[in-house]
Amino acid sequence: MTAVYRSQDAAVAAPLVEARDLKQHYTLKGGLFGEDRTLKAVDGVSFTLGRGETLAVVGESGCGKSTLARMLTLIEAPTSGDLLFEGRPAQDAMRDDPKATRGFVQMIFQNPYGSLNPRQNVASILAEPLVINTRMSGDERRRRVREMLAKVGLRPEHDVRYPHMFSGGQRQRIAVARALMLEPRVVIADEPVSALDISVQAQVINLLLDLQDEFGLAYVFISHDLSVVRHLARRLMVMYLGRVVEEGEGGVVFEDPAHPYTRALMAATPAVDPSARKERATVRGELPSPLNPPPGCPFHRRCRYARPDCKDRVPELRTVRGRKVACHYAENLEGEGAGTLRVAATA
Amino acid sequence: MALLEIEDLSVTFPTSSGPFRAVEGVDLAVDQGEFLGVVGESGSGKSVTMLALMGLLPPQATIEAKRLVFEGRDLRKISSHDRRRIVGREIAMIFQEPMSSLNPCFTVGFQIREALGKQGLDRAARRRRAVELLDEVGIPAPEERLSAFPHQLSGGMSQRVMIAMMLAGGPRLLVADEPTTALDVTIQAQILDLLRRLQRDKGMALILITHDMAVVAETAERVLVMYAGQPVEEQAARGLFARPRHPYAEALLEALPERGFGKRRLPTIPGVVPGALDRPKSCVFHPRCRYAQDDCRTVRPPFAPLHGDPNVRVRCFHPRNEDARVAEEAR
Repeated sequence: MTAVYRSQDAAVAAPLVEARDLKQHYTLKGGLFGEDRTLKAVDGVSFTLGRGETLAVVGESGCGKSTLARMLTLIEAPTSGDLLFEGRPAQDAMRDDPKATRGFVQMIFQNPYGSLNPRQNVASILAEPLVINTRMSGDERRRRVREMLAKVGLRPEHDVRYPHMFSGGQRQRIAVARALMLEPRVVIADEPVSALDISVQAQVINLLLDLQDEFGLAYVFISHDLSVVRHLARRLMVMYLGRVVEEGEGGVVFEDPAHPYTRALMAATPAVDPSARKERATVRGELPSPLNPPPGCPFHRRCRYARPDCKDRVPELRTVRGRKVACHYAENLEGEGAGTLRVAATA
Repeated sequence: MALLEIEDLSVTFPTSSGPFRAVEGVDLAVDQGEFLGVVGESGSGKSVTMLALMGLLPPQATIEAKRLVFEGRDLRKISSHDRRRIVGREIAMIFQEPMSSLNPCFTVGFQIREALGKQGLDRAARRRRAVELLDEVGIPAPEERLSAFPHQLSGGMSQRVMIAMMLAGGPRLLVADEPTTALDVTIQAQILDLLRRLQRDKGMALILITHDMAVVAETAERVLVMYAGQPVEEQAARGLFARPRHPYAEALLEALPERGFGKRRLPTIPGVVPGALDRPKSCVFHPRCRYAQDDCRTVRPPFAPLHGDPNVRVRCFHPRNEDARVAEEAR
């Protein structure tokens, strides 16, 4: 039998995944004379994810989105906070039944050239999770591998081929197939289409949507590309320096971004329409070092709306106009929605 | 007169299974101060074309062209000594990975002063000029940055330093090969703004190579679309995005999530880009083209002006969006 994570009856009503104030702090040794320093890679992230839902996590490099992915996939234990799978602490589930718990959440990586072992053929790559986590017979495994290849749009007889014999898009299909071998309920996708060409990107996005419909998968979709996020995800979480700065329904956030950083991100995203050109560099400077974040609001030094007290008080997430936002002045940023992502040429 | 003219350029590499034409039939002209975008997916030959122009391809590559002229000088005929005086000074290039383009062993200041080396400036003047250049590309506290090593700079800062080095020679033409692909989107916006400002202020021509349609839409005046080693469409940016004429350009735009908004599934292009040795002898796009007819399967269409209009060139027997009214409604 397949090892599928089975919940206790009492927990059925609980969301698939619930994160409560997750933190990941790394300690950097200061050496012989220096002091140890703390890098707050993720500093208090909370969300819930239900069956068949997609939550997009958006942010630039250094915002902590990949660290979050490592915690959600149980590669790293959080420094503090709770991670619940169907209402049950993930650490407990991992201790009691690691194989089933690993099958509950799986991951797809950005680069299909780096994430597949060049010395393993496709059959062996896809069968490996089954060998480790289940007691299937060889015949059963081979059957499952071929079924999965067909599901992700590859020819089952190509299971004897090696990764170098496939194009980038086909390799990403193999990586998707591998993530689905254990029939996970949740898939964490870390920039799964950003290494692909446009025409191939569209194919892989469609594949992810089809598989979500077929298996009722929940996705945590990590990306820096707002147009892809807007297409795929109903809910959106924007991160900056390890903290959530805005979270809400995609429609609400895209139409009327309330945090200055969300606005800046949207303004910086080029529109596919030469008649809609405008100034896009609306944030000053670069990301501060996460080792030495600014006091108060982490964004205040780059923020065009910053006021004197922004450097003194850390803004907490609060509800403004139907979404959560961490900005003291989200209600009255002057200037109309400076950066609504415009959608070009839609009928 | 055009600043750069390329006519019928082809590049061939020897491989163990016979010669491989990475690029063929490239025609392109860039005027002074013009901003040309070259778009294509990986393997379309956009980088190889520019590397051939710069003379940066490995020696086993064979470059052929009917014309390869920069400011009236025939780049095919001049000596390699004379070519080096043009390339790197009058024609400059920046690359995708700013981190690996800089030498990690030397300070930023050393590398910029090196680029200034042949201009007859003394030590103090070179240093002053290096500070000016860093200031011009928007690096804060340029004096202090001179002594920074590349590993102390972020990706955006490294790309700015690369641009400063390129400006040292006072180029007439800057070739930027995916200059923002490795950068975050807010930093990408800053670098694109910088490139646009430099092109405008210095009257410099700019060729921007990218796979990103949105980046081209944002910056270029004219766009050349390449597919499988060949140019397939060229026209003004506004025209291309409103009314693409080649089926590949049309399909590429439809596949963008920005344009598929409201639909759950995105339109895709069936099949894959043909590999090195299975490119069709006729139209290269016909195996993936919805509109392919018999002539597409037998004869290669020329890259020719559409209806005699020299501003729109298409390599297709059956161009799309012929009915302008339909195109307007589709907008």
